[in-house]
Amino acid sequence: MSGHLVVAQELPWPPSVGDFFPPNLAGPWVTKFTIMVWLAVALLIVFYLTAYRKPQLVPTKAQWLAESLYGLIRDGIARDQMGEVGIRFAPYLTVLFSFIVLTNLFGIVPGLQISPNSHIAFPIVLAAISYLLYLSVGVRKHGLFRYLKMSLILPNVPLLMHFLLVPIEFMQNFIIRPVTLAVRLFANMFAGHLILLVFTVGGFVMLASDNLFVQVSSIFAFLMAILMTFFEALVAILQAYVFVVLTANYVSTSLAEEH
Amino acid sequence: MADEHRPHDSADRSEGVAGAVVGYLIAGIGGWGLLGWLAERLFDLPSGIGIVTGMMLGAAGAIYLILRRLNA
Amino acid sequence: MNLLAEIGGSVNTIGYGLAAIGPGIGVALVFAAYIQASARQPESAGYNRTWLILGFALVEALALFGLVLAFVIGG
Repeated sequence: MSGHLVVAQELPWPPSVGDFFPPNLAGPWVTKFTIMVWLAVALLIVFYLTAYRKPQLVPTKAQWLAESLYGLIRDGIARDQMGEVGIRFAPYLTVLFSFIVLTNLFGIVPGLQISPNSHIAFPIVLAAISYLLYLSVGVRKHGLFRYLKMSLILPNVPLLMHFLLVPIEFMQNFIIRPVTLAVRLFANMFAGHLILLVFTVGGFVMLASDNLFVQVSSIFAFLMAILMTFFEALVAILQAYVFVVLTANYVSTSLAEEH
Repeated sequence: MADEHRPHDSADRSEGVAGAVVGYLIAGIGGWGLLGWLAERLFDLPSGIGIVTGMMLGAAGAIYLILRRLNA
Repeated sequence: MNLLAEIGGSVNTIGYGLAAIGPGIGVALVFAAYIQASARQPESAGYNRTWLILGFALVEALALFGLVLAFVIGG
């Protein structure tokens, strides 16, 4: 019993992983996700360039928006996590935050309605860039051997305990950190899209049934879909913030002085 | 403006602590579980005992590391 | 007459879902106690933080055991 309801038109019910793969647009390389990522990059470039084309002392609206966003990230995240040396990472963190917020919000924009981050590939690339960033910052500051010693060996621990602890430290620092960065973003976007699919398509399935009671209670499905859309907006911004804050934190532990 | 509202250093911030706790737990249980499972395969121990020992050791080590990280 | 009941599909997932109820409630209790204690006596928040992290780690370890075993023990 696979759970399919008999409906008048062919609705994609129950929602499955196949719903996350829209049809190809031009060959296997250009899909809806490609267009969406290009659109996000174009929007970011146009916004930041035009906002700062002729900077004035009393800012225009776009310039004020761009400056507030940059100031928020630089003061709230970069300076808070890394101190004064973190200011030079603030531009990268601002662009990372804006890109993730934009691609996450594509999940609720009508017409697009899916976020590229619900395919594991895009969060993997973002997490890989952050991973290379904090590794290279640490190695460049301390040298390779001292960086490994600093991150794997703790002071004041008896030698026997080190056999237990060094694998854990190694896995945590070099494997779990980038993997959880990517998987956290991916899982939130995937689950959010699946919830929206369940409530929206489920509402249509209930509307197409024969029973009057079921048809009337389909309004609750649509109401939940509206509430979940607002929740998705919150989750989009929150997940972008968590990604950027954790990147800044990892860079700051790479930059930290020896014990 | 003095930094009176900031925690002491990067190791004490709440995002760092949260990331450290979850990260150490997953790394400890997963990593030592993996080592225990490999030991079970190589040394032909009774089924299941290697992975359980590994996970317990890994959880103990992870909790030890979390407490060291907090009190340092 | 023999009646046979069978659960189909992935039993590992059902097992992990049942195993996640306990740690979910446990972690909520730990954090609720910390929030209440910090609200009643804010100067104890720093002292209680050690117990907060220890309690959370111990309870979460059980949830992670369940997650790892759900993937590993073949079914």
